[in-house]
Amino acid sequence: MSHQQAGDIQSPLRNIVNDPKLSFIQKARYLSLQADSMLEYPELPAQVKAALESRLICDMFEGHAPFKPRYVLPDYQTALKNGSEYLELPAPQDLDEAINFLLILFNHVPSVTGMPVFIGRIDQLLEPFADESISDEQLHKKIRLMWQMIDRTLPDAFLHTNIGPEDSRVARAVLAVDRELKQVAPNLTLRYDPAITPDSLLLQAIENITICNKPHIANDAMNVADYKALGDFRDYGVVSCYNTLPMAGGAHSLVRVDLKKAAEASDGTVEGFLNKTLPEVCEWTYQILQARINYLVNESNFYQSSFLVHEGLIDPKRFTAMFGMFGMAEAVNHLLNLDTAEGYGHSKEAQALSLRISEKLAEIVESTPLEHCWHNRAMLHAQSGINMDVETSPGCRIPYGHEPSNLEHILAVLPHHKLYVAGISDIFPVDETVKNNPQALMAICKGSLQQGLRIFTCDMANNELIRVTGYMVRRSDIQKHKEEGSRLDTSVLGAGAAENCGILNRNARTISNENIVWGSDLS
Amino acid sequence: MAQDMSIDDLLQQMTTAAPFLTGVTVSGGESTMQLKFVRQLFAAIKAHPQLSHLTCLIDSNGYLSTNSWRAMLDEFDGAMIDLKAMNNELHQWLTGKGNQRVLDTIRFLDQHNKLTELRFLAIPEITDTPEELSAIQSFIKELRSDFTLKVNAFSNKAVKGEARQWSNLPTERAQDIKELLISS
Repeated sequence: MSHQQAGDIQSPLRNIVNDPKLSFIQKARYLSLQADSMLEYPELPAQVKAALESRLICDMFEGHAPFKPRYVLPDYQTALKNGSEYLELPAPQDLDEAINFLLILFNHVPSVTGMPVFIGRIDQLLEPFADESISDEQLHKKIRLMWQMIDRTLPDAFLHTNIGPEDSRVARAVLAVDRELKQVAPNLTLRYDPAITPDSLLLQAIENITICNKPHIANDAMNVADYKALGDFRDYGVVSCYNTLPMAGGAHSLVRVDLKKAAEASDGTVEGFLNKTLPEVCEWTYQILQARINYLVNESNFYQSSFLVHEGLIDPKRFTAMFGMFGMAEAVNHLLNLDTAEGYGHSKEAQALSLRISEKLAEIVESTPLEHCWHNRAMLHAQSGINMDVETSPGCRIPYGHEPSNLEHILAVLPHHKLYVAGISDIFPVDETVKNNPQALMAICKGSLQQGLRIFTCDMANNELIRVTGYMVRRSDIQKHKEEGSRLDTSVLGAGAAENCGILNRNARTISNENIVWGSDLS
Repeated sequence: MAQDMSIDDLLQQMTTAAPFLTGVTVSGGESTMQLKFVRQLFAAIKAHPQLSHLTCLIDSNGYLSTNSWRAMLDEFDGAMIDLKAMNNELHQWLTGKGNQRVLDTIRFLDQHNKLTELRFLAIPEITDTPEELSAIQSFIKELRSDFTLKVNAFSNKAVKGEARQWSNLPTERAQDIKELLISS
């Protein structure tokens, strides 16, 4: 930037300062992002820089000088037990103190957005304080106020909380409040384990989905098993959109590969793509990840100075890197020369190739060392897209508007889920008539998880809250944002996603689609 | 649109969908018109390792004779029966047939714990009259098993002929009728 004239440097800053739609807080944040982008990017070889510039590889606009981890999952349980010296707060003794303690702490947890993407397993955190002195009505009210406080002071739909798999009064109150308020924040996941979670709790969550498209239902048994297999298990959390990450740690960074662009850059053959293009693009991605992580760990002083580290709420050794991918559908259709309508999601051949690609990526990620990362490696993540993605589908998703029937959809994407330990999600569009039959949706949810789906996410047509990529946006805010701005940062992204990514065109499907032949195995 | 399908065709489709299902319901048309096929299908489901967890239900107008129901009593898990009217002449006028066999079916299934659901179609000023509702209420009181009562609100969208002129029943009215029928 040094060669630019002062006026050129100033004009983007001036535009932010004078923007009529941004709040003063949003202006301050955008100014800081602009300043960050004026710093030199960490040193990279020319061909890697070119891959970033052509957007073959995308660094998610995390900034040029990473000074905080992308995703942070503090061990809030330890904080509640010990209190915080830094925050000058003793360990809370009752429910009011616990909620107040957490609300304060949330404001000191960084992430790529500047707001926390994980506020803990809220039922486990609060249940010990919700003793018999607290009536159901009192509990409901306290959770309701807490939810309003979170949504109004940390207005970011990537902010995520988990409940379950155990049943509890707090989990029930959270579901009741969440459906009542229909807020975009917090994002919510019910961790479901058939051996632990009662059907009545799952059904309450499913009914919530028919009202406000929240929560996600995560396959807790599968996540726990995968994390235990990795070793050094200290729980995990579902954060941001649906990212699955180590508790008391998180992810330093996320860099993603555009498989569509990679396929287009290959020689056009399956073998050329798998054996030449993909390994090369992955190697470049690793160079970007390593350069960014080196800066964060060695230069920025985050881990050296954060009270979260000093007070044992995060351990720098428990931070992974997320190796992201997207555009599977378009890559496969390009390589097999298939139209969208007959391609990925509709053809066995496309499914087989997509699995080969996912397996290749998983193999690369498992075997490639990455310094300063948990287990000295990255973790594979099916990235759900950002608002500027045009004609490129998130992760391994079937292109919006071309989804087959619900069961075919689930069966088509299901085999990918086991490979993406750091998170993968498919949004199943269901017809609103399922409101009259939540039991049917519950049967489908249970069947999907039992067969190895990592997370179950629905989007019901015509609900006010819409699932964008993994986070929520209010339908009315998309229009409103265009006219007058929004207090919610994620509405800005949601409006972009509606315009660029066609999220409003999803194919709603009825659960009992009698004219579909289930056994026709995706031909 | 009718199509011919074999038991094997159906089993193959069901095996794909089975992990997402809790049961299978045969409907129609009138499923008991294909009784032999239905019995073979249910037997095949119960014998199939990947399908045996599914409940097998029959959706029917209730015209099957009690002898036929009795003969297959161990082969299905329950039935959903439509009751169009309690007054025999009204039933005759609505369906072209009397309701004796329907009432016999409902009583028989109730006695053998095979009545899953009893459905009543409420048509404004035709079947939602005080006389009809009171007669159904008394009939339901005789039943002892644990079944679901469903009151369907008439809609003139999917009917033919004269019925197109009948008015629609508001869903709140259907809810009120249901509460009336189950109150003792």
